[in-house]
Amino acid sequence: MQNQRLKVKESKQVDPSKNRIIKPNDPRIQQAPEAGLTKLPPEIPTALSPYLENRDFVNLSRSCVTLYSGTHEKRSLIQLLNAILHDDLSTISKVLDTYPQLLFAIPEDFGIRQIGSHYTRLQYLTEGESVFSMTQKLNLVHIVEVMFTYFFNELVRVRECDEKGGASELEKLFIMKVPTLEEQKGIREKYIQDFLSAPIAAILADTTIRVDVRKIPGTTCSYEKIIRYTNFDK
Amino acid sequence: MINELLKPKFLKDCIDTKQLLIASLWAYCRHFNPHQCSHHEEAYIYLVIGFIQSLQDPQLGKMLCQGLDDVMMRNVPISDRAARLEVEGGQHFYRLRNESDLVFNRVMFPLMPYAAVFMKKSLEKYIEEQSCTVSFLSKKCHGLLPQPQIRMDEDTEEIRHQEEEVKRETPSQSRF
Repeated sequence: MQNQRLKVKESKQVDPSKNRIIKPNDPRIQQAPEAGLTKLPPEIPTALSPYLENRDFVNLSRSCVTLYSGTHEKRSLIQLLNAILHDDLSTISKVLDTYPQLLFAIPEDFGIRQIGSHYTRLQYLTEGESVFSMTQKLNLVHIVEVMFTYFFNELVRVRECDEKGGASELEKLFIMKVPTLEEQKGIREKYIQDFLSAPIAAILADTTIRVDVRKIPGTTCSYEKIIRYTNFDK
Repeated sequence: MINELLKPKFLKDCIDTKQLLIASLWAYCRHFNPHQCSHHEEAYIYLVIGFIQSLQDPQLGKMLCQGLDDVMMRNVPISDRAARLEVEGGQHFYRLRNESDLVFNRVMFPLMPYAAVFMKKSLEKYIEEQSCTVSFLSKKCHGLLPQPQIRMDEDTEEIRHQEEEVKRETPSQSRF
């Protein structure tokens, strides 16, 4: 009887590899090139892309060779844009070494319509702007300096090839200008009127305001009060 | 002001944050009495200037962490701490945790009118250096300093040498 029970138990034991729980952080097993997932027809990525956010599309592309190969340049562009906003000069050089053409790429063509820094929380719309023009308009001089070596190489290459009008067109892409001292004064006065005069008037008008410097960053001012002071629209 | 500054905008309309910081320092010196340390003044320093400081790009952020005056006037290099965007107390320069922290940005200098004047000068020097870099790059870009011109000069010198040699030879030929 005991032998029979043991045999039944052994027969009930299931292969442990089948019951293995796969954790999300486990290393992914590399799929064979003939796996079903990789044989996506090119229509599917183009059909999927309007319905997915950029981040979701990029995440999805990691599971599929077809999507991955199609979005590699896009991911590099996203990496480049993030590096520009977060002052990561080494990443900028690495990406531009691999893809120098991304310097003149227009993010809108890749479906990137808005960029933002998680440091400053400033958001920008990328309509009709290339990476090079965006960096110049944001006044990031030290990043333009890094980019300029790639830009200048391209300029020299075009000159040597003697493409008609190519060099002059490239020269026009360098649009960066720092305002003169007079212009700077004008900009400051405008900013004082537009952004600063209202909060100053509100702060000076309030006789009940109390700020305890020792408790900074937790001042005695309530958050609502601060919003009221600094919110220009209201 | 917060909504106006933080809403998404086109790049042609983007705000020059460095000029805005200088403008906030100008306004501070103009509107607040330097001899009276009032709650109004401190509210303006922490709520307005502190907030505008948090809008600066990370390059200037690192310099502010190190001390803008030290970096610009005394050529102090940026330390590892400043490169990590941390202020002296180990606090991060940018408020990353939650929205309400955004307005309580720490001011990087003991702000009194004379300190504001120093900071204005350092910032103006920083912008001046940037403008020099930009003008150099634009000259290089528009063909004033490229390599091919030097080759052209070398070519013309060679041509001159050849012409001089020809001139020397021609009188001797005329004798015959």
